[in-house]
Amino acid sequence: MTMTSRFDALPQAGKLAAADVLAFALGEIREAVRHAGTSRGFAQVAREAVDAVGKVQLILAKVHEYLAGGHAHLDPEQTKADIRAIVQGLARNDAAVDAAAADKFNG
Amino acid sequence: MKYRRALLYVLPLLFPAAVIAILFLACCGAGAATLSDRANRSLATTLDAVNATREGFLAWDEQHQADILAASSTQGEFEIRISGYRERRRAVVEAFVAAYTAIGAAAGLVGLVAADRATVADLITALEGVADAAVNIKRAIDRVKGDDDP
Repeated sequence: MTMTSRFDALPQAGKLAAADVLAFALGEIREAVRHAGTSRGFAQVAREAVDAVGKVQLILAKVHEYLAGGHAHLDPEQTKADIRAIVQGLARNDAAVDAAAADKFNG
Repeated sequence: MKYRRALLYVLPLLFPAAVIAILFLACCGAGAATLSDRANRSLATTLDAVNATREGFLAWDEQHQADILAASSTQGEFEIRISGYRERRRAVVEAFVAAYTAIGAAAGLVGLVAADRATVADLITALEGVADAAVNIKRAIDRVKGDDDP
């Protein structure tokens, strides 16, 4: 499976996670090239770039494996939904008792 | 409604189970892959317990507010008592928010550990934070229940 098809196979949350680690790995590549370019020859730069790409592939494979295995809470939207559930649930209770109070004292 | 009321009795048992699972995870010397699996299972257990506790607290809150209304003979008395209760209740909401945030952060760390971008020590610290946050929910609920007896 090529890296592109592996990326395409990821769910949306996985694409975001993969994009995040890709940005990290690309930073490593840039750093390797910058460092090698100032102190070593072109062959060394190429070797370090290839090593960095290998790291990207390894990380992508791990992200894919991690997503396929399931987990508690990858999506930050889920955390927000859980928090909304308690806030909105209490707001519903408040509204219900306020309405009942209006009936009792004003109705 | 029966389901929600039943949760009130089950929940005190779920929290220690979740906390023990997490502390077990923190104490064991498993490898990174096994640790991630156990972390995910512990987080899922804790998330289930927190969600169940949330439903139980919502059921208790609904009944408690109705009890306050029933025990109030004037609108002024009701407003004072209900506003006082809702103010005290904020600590429970904050405890839930803290727990959900801690769970989300720890779950994110599991992924980072799997991608070698965070250490196992970071993950264990985060899981300990989740355990503390879960216990704090129970404390906050016990406190607001102890303070309110219409």
